[in-house]
Amino acid sequence: MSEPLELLERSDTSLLDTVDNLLNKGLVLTGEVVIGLAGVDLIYLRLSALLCAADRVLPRKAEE
Amino acid sequence: MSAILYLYALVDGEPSGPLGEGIAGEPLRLLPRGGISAVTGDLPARPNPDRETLEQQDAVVRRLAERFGAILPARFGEAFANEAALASRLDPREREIAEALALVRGCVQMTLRVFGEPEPAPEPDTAGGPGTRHLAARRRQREWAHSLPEIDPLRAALHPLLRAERIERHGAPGPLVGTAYHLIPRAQAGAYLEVLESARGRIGGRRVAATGPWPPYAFAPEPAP
Repeated sequence: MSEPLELLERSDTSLLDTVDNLLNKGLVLTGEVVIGLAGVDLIYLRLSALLCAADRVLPRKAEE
Repeated sequence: MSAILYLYALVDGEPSGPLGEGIAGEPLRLLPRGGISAVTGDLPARPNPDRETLEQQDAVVRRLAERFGAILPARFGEAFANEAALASRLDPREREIAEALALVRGCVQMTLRVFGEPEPAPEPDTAGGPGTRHLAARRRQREWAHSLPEIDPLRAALHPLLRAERIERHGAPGPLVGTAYHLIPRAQAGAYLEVLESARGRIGGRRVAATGPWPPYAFAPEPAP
């Protein structure tokens, strides 16, 4: 079964990428930033963003 | 409440245009330190990581990425008491930061997410004593967390375009297998997408989603684990 490739160019609306880039990546100079942002709420936000985005970005066409 | 010096990015060279404003509308300041400059803003306190503020910081960093040939975006929430505190963190890592700036110069990041059935993790070795097996297992686990054999044919096709690559398996259940972060020359973003399009049939039933170009967030140094 071949699925169409999804190409999202300059996806300004992608919360997933914003969260991944800013909370999970980037230059870290102080340990405090990691500790200060590693709260449960944030991890939850990140995971739900990932899971939601997976469904939103790639609708399961085969099941419809 | 004491004010903080908020770090947006490290850069080198001169900006090609005005720096503009930060996430609270504050004017951005360029603080040179050796061959590196910090792009900073004065804020009343460390900002909260809500959606609006994250999107504002993303917009600031993307604007800065267009102003400088090389940029290392800071993670959200990097704040310092004053310029001396920032300098004391920068100075010991100046060489590492200069190398990272050289790597990302003229480059952008493409983010490639892979969805579908994961490959099974490699089988454990049975050779050696318990200590050897334990260490081998730990090493294998670490390597596995940074590999995506599911898209090896795609990575091979993209390889001529890549200046650097960073891979993370997702690990948790769900449709996302993992993410490959690719550093490519800014002018190659179109070519990258064309190669992906032409090589999409080579990874079985798995699906990929590419986003970008982004500032090179995944190629900025982090503290040693």
